[in-house]
Amino acid sequence: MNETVAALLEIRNLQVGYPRGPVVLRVDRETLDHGEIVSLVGPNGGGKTTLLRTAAGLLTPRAGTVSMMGAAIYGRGALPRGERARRTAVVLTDAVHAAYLTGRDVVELGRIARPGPQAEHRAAVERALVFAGAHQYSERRLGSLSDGERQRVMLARALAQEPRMLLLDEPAAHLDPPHQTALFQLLRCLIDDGVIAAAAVATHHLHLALHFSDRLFVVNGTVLAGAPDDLVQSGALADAFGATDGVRLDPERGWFVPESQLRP
Amino acid sequence: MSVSPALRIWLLVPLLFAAMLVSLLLGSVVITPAAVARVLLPAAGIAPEVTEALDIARVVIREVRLPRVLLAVGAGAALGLAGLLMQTVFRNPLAGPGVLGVSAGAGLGVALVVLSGVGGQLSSPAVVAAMAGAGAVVLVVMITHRVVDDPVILLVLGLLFGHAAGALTTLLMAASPAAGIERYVIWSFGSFALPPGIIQPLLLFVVVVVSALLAFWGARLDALLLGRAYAESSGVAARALHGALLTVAGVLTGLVTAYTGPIAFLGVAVPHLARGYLQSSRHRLLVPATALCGATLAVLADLLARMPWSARVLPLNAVLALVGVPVVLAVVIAPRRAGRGGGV
Repeated sequence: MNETVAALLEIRNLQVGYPRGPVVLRVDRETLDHGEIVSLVGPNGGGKTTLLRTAAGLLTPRAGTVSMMGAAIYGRGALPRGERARRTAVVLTDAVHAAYLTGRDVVELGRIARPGPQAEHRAAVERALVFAGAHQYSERRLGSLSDGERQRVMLARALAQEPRMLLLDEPAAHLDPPHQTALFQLLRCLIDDGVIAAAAVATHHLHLALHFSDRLFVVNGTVLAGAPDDLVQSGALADAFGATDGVRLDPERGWFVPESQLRP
Repeated sequence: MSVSPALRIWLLVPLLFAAMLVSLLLGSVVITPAAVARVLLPAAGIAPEVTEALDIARVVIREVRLPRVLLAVGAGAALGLAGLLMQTVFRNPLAGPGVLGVSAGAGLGVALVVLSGVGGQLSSPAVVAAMAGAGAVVLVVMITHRVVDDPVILLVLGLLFGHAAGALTTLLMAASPAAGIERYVIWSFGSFALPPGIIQPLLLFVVVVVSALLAFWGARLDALLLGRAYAESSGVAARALHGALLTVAGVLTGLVTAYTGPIAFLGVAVPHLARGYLQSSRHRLLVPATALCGATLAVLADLLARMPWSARVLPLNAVLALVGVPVVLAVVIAPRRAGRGGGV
C-alpha cells in the first residue's frame, strides 16, 4: 500500500498568517509518521492551534503544502473533503452549544463521510462511545453535560469517523486528572491496536506529553522537533516558554516549579 | 413520555387540519362543517341541493377563507423554516428570518411604490417592489458571504441593512401624503387576506420541496450546529452550505413578506416550539415539525386576528408578536432554570 510509503502527514515550507498581517508560523518540513504520538507544546500564542488547524485542512496557509498520506489538502487538485474526513479527525477547543443534540446524535455526525449500511454505522458509533468513555452520555443532551463530559463526546465523535490519524487541540483541558492520563493512554492503545495510525496532540500538560509522546514539536513561531528527553536535557523545551522569574522546568516531573524547590 | 419523535410529528398533522377546519368555519358568517364538506368535496356523494345558503358558503369558502387559510399555512411554514435555517447557520437562538434585513428590504420596496402613489397595498406593483427590495437584500447578503468569511460580520451587516432600509422608509413616509402613509401602515400590519391566485399553491409547493430537501440533508445541517470547523472536518462543505441556506431562508422570507407584510417574527418563535416539542434539534425531525408548527400557529393567529365574534380585525403582526414574545421568553429562560442549557 502506498499508505506505508508516504508519511501520514507532511508539512513543507509552511507559512501561516493573516492575509495582510504578519506570518505567525513557519515550518520547513515536519511529518507525522506511523505509530507515533506527537505532542505540540509551547507557550501561549506560539502557534500550536494554528499548526494543528492548518494540518487538519481548516486553515489555508499563505504558502507551503500540507499532504495527508501523500495527497495535498490545499490548492488545486486538493484532496476532497470527504476523503480528508476519512483520513483525519479532529477534537478542537471550539465551544459546542448544540443543547438539544444527545451524545449519540453528536457521535453519529462523525459518520457523514462514511457511506455504508446502518448496522455498520451503529457498530462504529458504539465502539467510539466505549473507547472515549462517553457511553453513559449517549442519551443525555449536550446542554446538560459538563465541559469535560462534552469533551469526551467530541472525542467519540472523532473516533466514529474511523480516521487514520487524530489531531487533538487541548483534548485534556476540561478533563479531571485521571481522565487526562487515561486520554493519552487511550491514544497509545488505539495506535498499538491499529485502530488509528498516529495522533498529534496540542497540549499544556507537559508531564503527560513527556511521558506518552514519541516526539515533541516545540511550537513557538516555528517548530523544533525531537525526542522528549533530548529537548528537556538540551534546555530547548524550557527556553521555548521564555524566561519567567523564579520558575524553572523540573525535568523529572515535567512541571515548572519554583527555583527554590528545584532539586540539584 | 416515550412517544417516538416520528409519532410526535405525525400528531401535528391532525392538529393543523383541525386548525384549518375551524378557521374555515368561523368568521363573520358561521359555516357548518356539512357545508364546508359540500363545497370542498363536491364528489363526496352528497346530493347537491342548491340552496341560497350553500351558494353563500361556496363564495365565502372558495373566494375568501380557503385562500386565506392556505396562505397562512404556506407563509407560517415558510417563515418557520427560514427562522430555523437562520438559527442553524448563526447558531443563535435569537436569529430569525428578519436578521439579515430581508423584511426591511421588502418594506422599503413597498414604501417606494405605495408612497409614490403608483398602487394600493397588495396591488401587483407593491408585491413586485417588495420582492425587488427583498431580492436586493438577499443578493447583497450572498455577495457579502462570498467576500467576508465571518457569520458575525454578516449579522452586523444584516442589522445595518435593516436599519438603513427602515430609515429610508421613514424618510419616504415623512415626504408623502397621509393617504400613502395609511396604505403603508396597513401593509405593515400584515395580513393573509388575499384573493385566490398563484401565490397560495406556489408557496405550498415551495415549502414541501424545501422541507424535503432540508430533511434529506438533515445530518449535514446538524453538523453545522457543532460549528464550521467541526462540520468541515467531518466532510461537510460548511461554507457553501451556509451560503445556500442563507439564500433559501432569504428567498422564503422575501416571498412571504412581499404578499403578507412584515410578519417575520413568527419565524423566531416557531423553531423553538418545535425543538421543545420534539426535545431534539436533529434537522431530519425538526424540519417537518417546524413547518407544521409554523403553519398551525399562523392559521390560529390569523383566526385570532380576525376575531370571529366581532366585526373588528386586529393587526396580524401584533397578534403574532404578542403570541411569540412569551414563547421565545419561556424557551430562552426555562431550559437554563432546569440546568439543561438553552440554545439551538
